[in-house]
Amino acid sequence: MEGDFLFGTTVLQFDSENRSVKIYDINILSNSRNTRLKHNIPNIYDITDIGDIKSFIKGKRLIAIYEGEEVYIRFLKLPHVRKGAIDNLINHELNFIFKNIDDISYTYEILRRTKKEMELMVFCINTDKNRMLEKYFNRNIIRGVFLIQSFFISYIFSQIENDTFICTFIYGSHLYIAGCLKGKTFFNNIIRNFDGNLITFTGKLQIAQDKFSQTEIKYTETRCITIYFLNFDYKSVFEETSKKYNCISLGKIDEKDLISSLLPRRTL
Amino acid sequence: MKILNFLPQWYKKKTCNAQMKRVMLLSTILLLVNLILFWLDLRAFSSLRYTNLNIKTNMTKSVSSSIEKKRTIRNSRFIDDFKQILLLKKGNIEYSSVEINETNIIISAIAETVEDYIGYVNMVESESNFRIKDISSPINSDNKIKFTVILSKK
Repeated sequence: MEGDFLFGTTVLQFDSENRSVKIYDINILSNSRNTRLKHNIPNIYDITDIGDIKSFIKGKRLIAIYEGEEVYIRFLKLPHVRKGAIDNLINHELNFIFKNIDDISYTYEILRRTKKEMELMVFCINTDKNRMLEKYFNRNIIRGVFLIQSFFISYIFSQIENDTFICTFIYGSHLYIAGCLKGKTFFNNIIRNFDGNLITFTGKLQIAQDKFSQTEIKYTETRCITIYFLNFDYKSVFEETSKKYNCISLGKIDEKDLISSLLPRRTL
Repeated sequence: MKILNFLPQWYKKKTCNAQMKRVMLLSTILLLVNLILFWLDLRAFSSLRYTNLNIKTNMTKSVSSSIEKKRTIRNSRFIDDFKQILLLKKGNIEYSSVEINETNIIISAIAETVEDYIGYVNMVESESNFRIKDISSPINSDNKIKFTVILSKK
């Protein structure tokens, strides 16, 4: 199930500016009918006090959620190798592209695999938050490091029937834009401290459409791609964009409901 | 839709190393257990071999000693029987030579009369532990009868 990894974990949510860290536990409460989330009230600590938290979450299983991190997506063509060697090849490739990969963490998806070669989609983030994890929580079991936009995109994907779309949402003070092609995120962008500036927003939307036109989708068709809005407060921007594009608003969702939506609906 | 997991490099390396360490530890333990078992086997085998050797040596010793004993007994019996033959001398019989080999006693004797000769032969046949294997025809010289008897164990 999609959200199984969240159970019984303590979440460390780092804000985008690396100023504070939000901590909460995720557990499930079960009854005869269904399971629901037990999500305690988050404690927010200043990042400078992170050393004190260390003893508080000693021995707990952690997941880290990063806010405001942009994902660099690269398409790589590699010779067909066994799974264990893929990481090595990606490491070398990233070393060649970025020169210094100390702060880079990545994950990948195999798009196509033939007998001779394979095509990969490599997702990278460049963040110093990893260093904080290493410094303070290296004795904990870390179940995963996730980006906040992944949860939003996954939520939007679960709410709609399209698998090719553009989505935009506001979390914190930042606006996130992501493009999904056949259920895979292939583009994302962040407008930091978004203040409702229409020009900036349409500029980023244009970049998203350009990215789509580089794929198998024709440029004329890119205007037909639906743009989904979530947690979007700027009505005027939404209305102006709706005049040019096919836009749908999905309303608002808070953090708790967002995580709850990922949990499996199982009856016991 | 899959939620992407960006586990940091250091953590991947750490878990990989920890797994490797676990595998190494497990294989070392297995190796040690195997070595101990092998050593125990070897010890059991060598002790078994030693026991076998001991049994063999003892058996050889006991067999050879029993053969020796038997031989001694047989020899002593043979001598006793020979003594008996010598003592069986009755009447006027004189031994001129007595030859003893592994299986036979060859006695050359001189009898005074024919009766002495017949009496001696009958007595050997009936009273001793020997049987007459061969007897030479008696030779008459100076009114005395010379003869040779080859005796063997009954």
